[in-house]
Amino acid sequence: MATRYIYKRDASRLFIALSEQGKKFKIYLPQDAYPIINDEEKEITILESKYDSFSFLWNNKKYFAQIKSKEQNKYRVIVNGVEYFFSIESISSYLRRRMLEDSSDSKKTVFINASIPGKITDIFVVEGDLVNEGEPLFSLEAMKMQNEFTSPITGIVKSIHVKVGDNVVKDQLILELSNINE
Amino acid sequence: MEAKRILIANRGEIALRIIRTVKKLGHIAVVFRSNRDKDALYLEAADEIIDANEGLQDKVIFLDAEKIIELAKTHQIDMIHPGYGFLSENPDFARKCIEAGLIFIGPHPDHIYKMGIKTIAKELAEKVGLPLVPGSEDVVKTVDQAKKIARKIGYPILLKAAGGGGGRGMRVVEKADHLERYFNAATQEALNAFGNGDLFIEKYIENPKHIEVQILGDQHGNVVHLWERECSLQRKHQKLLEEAPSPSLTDRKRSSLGKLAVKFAKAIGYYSTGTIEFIMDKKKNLYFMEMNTRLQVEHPVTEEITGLDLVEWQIRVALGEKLPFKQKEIPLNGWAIECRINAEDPQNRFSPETGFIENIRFPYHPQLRIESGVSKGTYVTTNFDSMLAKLIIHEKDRKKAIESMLKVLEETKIFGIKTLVPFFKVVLTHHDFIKGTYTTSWVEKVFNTDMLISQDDEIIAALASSIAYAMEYLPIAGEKIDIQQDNINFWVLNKRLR
Amino acid sequence: MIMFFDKLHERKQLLEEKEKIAIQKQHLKGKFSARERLQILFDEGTFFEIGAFVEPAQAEFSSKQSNFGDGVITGRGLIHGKSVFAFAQDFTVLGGSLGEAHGMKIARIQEMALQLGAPIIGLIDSGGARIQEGIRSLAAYARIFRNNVRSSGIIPQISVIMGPAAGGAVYSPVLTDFIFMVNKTSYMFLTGPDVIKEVLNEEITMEELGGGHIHTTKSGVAHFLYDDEEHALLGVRKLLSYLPPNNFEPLPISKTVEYYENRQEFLDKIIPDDPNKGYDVKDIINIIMDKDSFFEIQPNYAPNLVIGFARLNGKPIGIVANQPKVLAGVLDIKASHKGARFVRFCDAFNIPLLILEDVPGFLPGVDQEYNGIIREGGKLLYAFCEASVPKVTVILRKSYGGAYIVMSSKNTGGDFNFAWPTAEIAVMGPEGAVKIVHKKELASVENPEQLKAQLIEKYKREIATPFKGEALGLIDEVIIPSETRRVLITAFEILQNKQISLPKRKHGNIPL
Repeated sequence: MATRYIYKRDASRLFIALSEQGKKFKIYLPQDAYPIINDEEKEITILESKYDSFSFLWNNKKYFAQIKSKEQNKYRVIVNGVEYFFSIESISSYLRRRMLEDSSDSKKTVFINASIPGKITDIFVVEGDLVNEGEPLFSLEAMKMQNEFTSPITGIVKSIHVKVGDNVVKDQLILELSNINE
Repeated sequence: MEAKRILIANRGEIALRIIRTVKKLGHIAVVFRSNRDKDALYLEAADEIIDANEGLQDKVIFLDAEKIIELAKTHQIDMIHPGYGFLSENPDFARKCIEAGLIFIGPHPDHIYKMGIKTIAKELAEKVGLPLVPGSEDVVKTVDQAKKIARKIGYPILLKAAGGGGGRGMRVVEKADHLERYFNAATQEALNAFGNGDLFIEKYIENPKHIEVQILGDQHGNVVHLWERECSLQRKHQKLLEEAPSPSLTDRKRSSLGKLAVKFAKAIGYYSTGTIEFIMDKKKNLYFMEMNTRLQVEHPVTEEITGLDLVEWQIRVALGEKLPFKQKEIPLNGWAIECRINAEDPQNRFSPETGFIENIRFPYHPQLRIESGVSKGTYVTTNFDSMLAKLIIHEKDRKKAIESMLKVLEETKIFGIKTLVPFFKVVLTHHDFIKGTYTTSWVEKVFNTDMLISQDDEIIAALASSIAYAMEYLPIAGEKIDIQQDNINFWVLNKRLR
Repeated sequence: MIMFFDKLHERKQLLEEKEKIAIQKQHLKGKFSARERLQILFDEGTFFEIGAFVEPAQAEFSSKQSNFGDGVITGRGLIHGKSVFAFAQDFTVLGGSLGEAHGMKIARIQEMALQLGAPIIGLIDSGGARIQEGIRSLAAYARIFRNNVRSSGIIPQISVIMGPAAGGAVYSPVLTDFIFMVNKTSYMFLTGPDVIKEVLNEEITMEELGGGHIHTTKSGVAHFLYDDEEHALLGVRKLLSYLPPNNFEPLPISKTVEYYENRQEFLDKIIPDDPNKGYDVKDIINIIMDKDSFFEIQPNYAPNLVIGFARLNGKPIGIVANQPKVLAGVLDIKASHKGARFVRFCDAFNIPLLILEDVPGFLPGVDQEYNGIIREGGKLLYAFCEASVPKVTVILRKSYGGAYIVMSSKNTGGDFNFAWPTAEIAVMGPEGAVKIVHKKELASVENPEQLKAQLIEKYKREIATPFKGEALGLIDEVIIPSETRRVLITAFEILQNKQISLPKRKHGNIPL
């Protein structure tokens, strides 16, 4: 039993799902027909959509997708226990993104400082690691609480200036990240 | 035999597993309810529950030797099974149990003690003639001494700190001209870390395989081996997958290894279950590492191929029974593989997951044995280790075992937290595993997260994201949304007009 | 008659041509044209333009035909079927600079919105005041700012920065209720990088000085940051779905209500046993409130305090919650004024408030003290006391000292104050309290650690326990966490007709 979804404007039925690695999926969701993915019709039927989960039938196999988190147009989906990340763009926002990436003026090195004094209890990365925006970098104990610090950008850990057990003061430089979007 | 009151001082899947056998034998299964694990699954299976009631500053009950014994006495407990981890290899605990008049289900405290000190264990092993990793007899005092020993053993060698572990004071030396520099560095590091700069030398075994032999002895001097297990799939020295028997041994090697293990156990007068661990180098040489005196996590694979219930035999041996079978009567039937389903994220450096298990479903398979400590609604925390369940497959041969395990993993559904299920699918389809050539460095050196991505799954994920996006944004972008203005209330209107 | 039709036809063509050029220019920069933005913002085909052919005041500009409109499009449209006014600055006409005519158009539309009791949205994309028009330009700005203030608290005012906004141009947005910014293509600053370079010889780019990232994390001036214009405008539409059209009319409610029935029981286990362990309060918010209804405001500024709108049984609620996993959920300078402004906005527009509390206190430190944490904390306290909307508090875990009082405690005017069994309400945390009160005893004993542990347990059982508050009537009820949603729905339902009247005064004196 296929689910019906509401689409008001034609252009709005075309989406571009961009994966973390930059893989592009062109997805067109027509009203009462199979989706067209990367210009090929795929016979995928939606069986159920409940809360944040969908179940599909494709080539006689059942698939279950759970939306783990979403923020604006960015989604983390789990299929068969593996997490996939997509940012969904409509044609115009995708073209805009492409245009802007060519002329970015963001600084190369991002400095991560301790926003509060404390003791470094854990460092989760090593130099050379590729980290995602939001991924934990280190944790610091202050006021008897563990504070986890996450990366503000997607980039490469350039250098780490402290080690576990160090006591750091406010604004002390903890590590440097290279912004790869430059 | 009258029913014994057996206290299981453990939790999770192992508590459940031990309870099963205790009940099977007609004994009474008693467990603790810890404040840190109040809704655990194993509580439902037990015959009696003792509330541990730990305060926030207290140790968790499973680590509190005094409290365990005190409560055991007041609850008329006959025997204590320590499970694995916690106090299972703590000789003081075993001794105190015996002094308190309780039967400790395990080996003699002296054996727990001796095997717990690696150097004593190695000394005893050497005496019995077990092959050891070549190394220095003692602490190496000078660089020259080190050079001599290294030349004798052959490079690469491993400099190890005598005063402690954890990788500190450890250096791998590949060539003779590096030795002086690394010797000094290791000494300094060990001094800083442990206050003791002493080092000893071992031959560095690169990418070893981990093979262990299960032995079982009674208190009358009889010892048999129950074949070996290969546990080479590890990450940071934690085992993830085990199989019995090992694909790396010939039948002849298998028998001789087993005999060696029995010889060792007999020589020290060992009884109850025990595991003798070996590492194997590239050239298929085996070296004694250590002996574990507890029941191991991976014991089910041995049970499957031998048809023996190890917990049952632990209890029987503890009660003084004689082993009724001889070595040649121990069968080796088929092949067993166990996967430890941990709540760890293989896409993120295997970091532990916390959260609620929204749903967990294992498929039915005639050759599948499930040991699970969790159920739907369990809240997984970092209070205890991250193992949720073990999946054990037993088939007539290795190829079929791999096939069946893959089928089971495919149909296993766990929602709410990420687990190693997709990781094992990668492992079992990788040619290193299929060929049996995988080593303890496989996860670190060969596995990478891209292997987890499936093309079809990715398409489904992209589709699901797009639909979710459409369902969320199109109503916002569309003219009508499901919102209407509330009616105005006169009381409010009156006040607002003023 | 026919020649009039010709003129009308000619104008129509001019409009189309101008739009084509605008689209070209803007798209090159990854931006939409002003008209396109309005199309995305409003329901299809509902935008009615006002003042399309107003000409620039100065002759040198009005002579050029393409300058009609004077760089801003003003008008009214429907958003989800409701009347909303907007102005969109057009960067392709004289750099979107504000001249007298441009300013007058905006002021007129503001006045109309205020008269008709409808929200007003400003899409800012302007080079600032038009230098050539001198004081007239500045005077035009002043009128706009005055209108912002006159409308403040009567109609919702939203600004979307979609390009540069420099100098005086930033004052209007900052006087409005919410500011949206678009990543990498919008900037706000008072003095730009050029002036800074000249006067202070410091080099800095526009993005680093006043880009979206800066204003949503460092300065806290902006409330929302989106990666592209389309989603920013969709965000405005979403925000409006929680707000009434003006401070007199009732709130919009959702007809269908969905919530995570099967997750309510998770609330019973979600607070960690270890009081030093953090957790994400947003998980709790998402379980209690209607499914997917939580719309967070300023997520990256003072993340130790979470604010935003959500729906409870279809009705909009303003949420103020401490975030234990950031800085242990303490209140500091930034969190205090972030919360205070939000509370006052909800109060102005009759949106009930839900306060979820787990706060160990105010952040200590010389830095905080020198920068006036006293005054900033005072803002939040004032805002809660002043608010006459229904206020319901649920204390989840810690609630110590001044922070307990500030977070809408009973005697500051909280209508219902609930607590979870895990709540600890006290003047200070058990460790500190025991050390002070039992100082002599601890000093005299051989093994102070053991005695201290015992005393801490006693303190938690007898003094900090929420049942003590319940006995005193300062906590209305200690509730079972998994029942929270049910209890809150009833509580807000009871309070729905709450109205307070105070003796007349011009306004109070909140410590600014």
